[in-house]
Amino acid sequence: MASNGSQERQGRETRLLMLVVVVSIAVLLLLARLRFPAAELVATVPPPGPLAGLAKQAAFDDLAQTMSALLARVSQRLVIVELAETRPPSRGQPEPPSPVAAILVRPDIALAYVPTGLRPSGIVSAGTAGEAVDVIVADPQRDLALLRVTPPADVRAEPAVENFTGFSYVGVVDATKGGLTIQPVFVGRVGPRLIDAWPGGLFTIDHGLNVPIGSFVFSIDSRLVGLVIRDKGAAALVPASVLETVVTGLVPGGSIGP
Amino acid sequence: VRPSTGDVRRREIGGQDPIDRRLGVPQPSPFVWLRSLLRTRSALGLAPSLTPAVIFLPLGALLGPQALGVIRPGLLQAFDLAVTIALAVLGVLVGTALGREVRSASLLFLAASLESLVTILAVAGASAYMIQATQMPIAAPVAALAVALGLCASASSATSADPDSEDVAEVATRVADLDDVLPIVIAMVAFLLLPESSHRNVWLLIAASPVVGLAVGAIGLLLFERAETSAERVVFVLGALALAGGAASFLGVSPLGVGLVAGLTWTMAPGRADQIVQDDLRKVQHPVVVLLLVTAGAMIVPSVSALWLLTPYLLFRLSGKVVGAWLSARLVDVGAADLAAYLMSPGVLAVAFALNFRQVLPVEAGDTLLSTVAMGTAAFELFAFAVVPHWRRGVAA
Repeated sequence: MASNGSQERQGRETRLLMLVVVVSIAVLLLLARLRFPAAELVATVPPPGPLAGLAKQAAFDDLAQTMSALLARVSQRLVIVELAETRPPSRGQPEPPSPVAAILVRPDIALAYVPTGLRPSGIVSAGTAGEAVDVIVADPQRDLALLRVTPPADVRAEPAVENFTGFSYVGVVDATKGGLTIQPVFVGRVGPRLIDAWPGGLFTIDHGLNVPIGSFVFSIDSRLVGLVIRDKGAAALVPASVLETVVTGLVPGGSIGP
Repeated sequence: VRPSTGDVRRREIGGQDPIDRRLGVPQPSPFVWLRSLLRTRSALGLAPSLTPAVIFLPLGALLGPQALGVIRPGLLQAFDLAVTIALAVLGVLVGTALGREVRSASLLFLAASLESLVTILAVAGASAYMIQATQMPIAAPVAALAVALGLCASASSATSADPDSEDVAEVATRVADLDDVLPIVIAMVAFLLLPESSHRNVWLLIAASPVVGLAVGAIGLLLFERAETSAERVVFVLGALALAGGAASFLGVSPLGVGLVAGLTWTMAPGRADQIVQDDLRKVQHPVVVLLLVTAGAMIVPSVSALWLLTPYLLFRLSGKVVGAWLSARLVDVGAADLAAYLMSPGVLAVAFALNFRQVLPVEAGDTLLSTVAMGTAAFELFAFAVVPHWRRGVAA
């Protein structure tokens, strides 16, 4: 009897098992006939959550802390490059050009945006005066330069942002004579922009935004979004993936991130 | 028939033993019933406690940026390092359990690994098929996200096992302890599927977790037993765990894997290191669980993708556990339905896996993964909490 009872129970368990598996597969096949709806959705401003009215509003202190923390995290991946005029000024002593930030693409190589008419004249590392600059490759077509830098002691690679879609706060990191600085910018709708010189699509972001040319844009979680360049008098964002393609072309094996 | 002393004790704290069930004792009052539901075994079969995921995941979601905003995004970023160390702590707990069981219960380990492997394959396969068939946009390699979902689904804690005197409860609890080992080992290798790992040396990435775990284990062996005071010993233990988490974070490898190897080292090596660590971890175990669950709850970002993936996650975790239990029950000589019922509860390890993968996946994919797993964990905890005991009573009758 015990054996019969045990066999009966095993049979019941096996039937239950088969039922669960068959139902699961049937539901999966049914769902697989549908199409994911996201592609048909129109981007809209999300309505406030039901509890949003109870939430305490974020203070400006939070924004300041977030930006300070972001700058601290990304500054190890950036160096400051001093620029100079390609041709000496004919007369007088004009104001020297503002420095630009350069991002490490390898432990000892940095990428900088160097506008036409300017050249890198020195590299400012943390706590040191300007060092002589060693230009590995200059790309006058895209106003880019790869520079040899002293490898930093501790720097961690962060994956770049893929498929940036806008509608988010970013940190725009720029170089000043006193060091790196950052400003929070809300990037709204980004428009596609094709420029022959670049091996991929760029974004139009200059809808009244004050983003310095040559600055690097980072997401709040410290991942590179792209580089701000000037094209026909307007600012454009070169996505990190396009930058990576360019760097790989200039230096085989190069990538965004040390 | 005289019940044993142990059974009498259990009855005194409110639980029914099998004889009660056969005799058909009256239904307990609602309060007693609720209390008996809440009294479960916590993760890894340690002290009895409330089922934490049911309480702290919704609490974290309520306090998080998507609801009340008490936990702000900046604070969540600050939690990241603490989460990494907490993951290393969980890895140590799993490694300690493995070290104690592997010598005497290799068959249990085999059954647990078989059960978790079946669940991983079921959920990963179903998720990958779902993503491909519905053309869901995922900002990560499909294989990486599918494997991550499978690993999260494989975790079990047997937290719904009420402390009755059934052999299957003890076996299921030990199976649930051991079924986290294989997923942690697979997670160490699964990091290779991530896009940013393509730039790194494969062998270095694979070897980093065991090497760092062994190094932390060796440091612990040298330090723990030489501490002159208990305070000094606690500092050494917490320092070793911080080292495990910090090194894993710096190298971009799984802190669960590093903790697993360290815990295994302390248990297998001669000496009392494992006992010392367990004594000290007992003080931080519950805060660690609460931290992980509240953080995971606060990080939930409701999205269509997460809801879309939730259905295959729930269905195929259920199927995987049932099929896995059916296969492995023969190895450990318990009823397949009983074993499956006890393994339904995912516990904190599922959330830990999701938090671990969220740190290395692209943001959107990581949020989708964590939201799916958190909702799935809460659903399975509720399922195991309220439905399984009734269903099991039906099976027993």
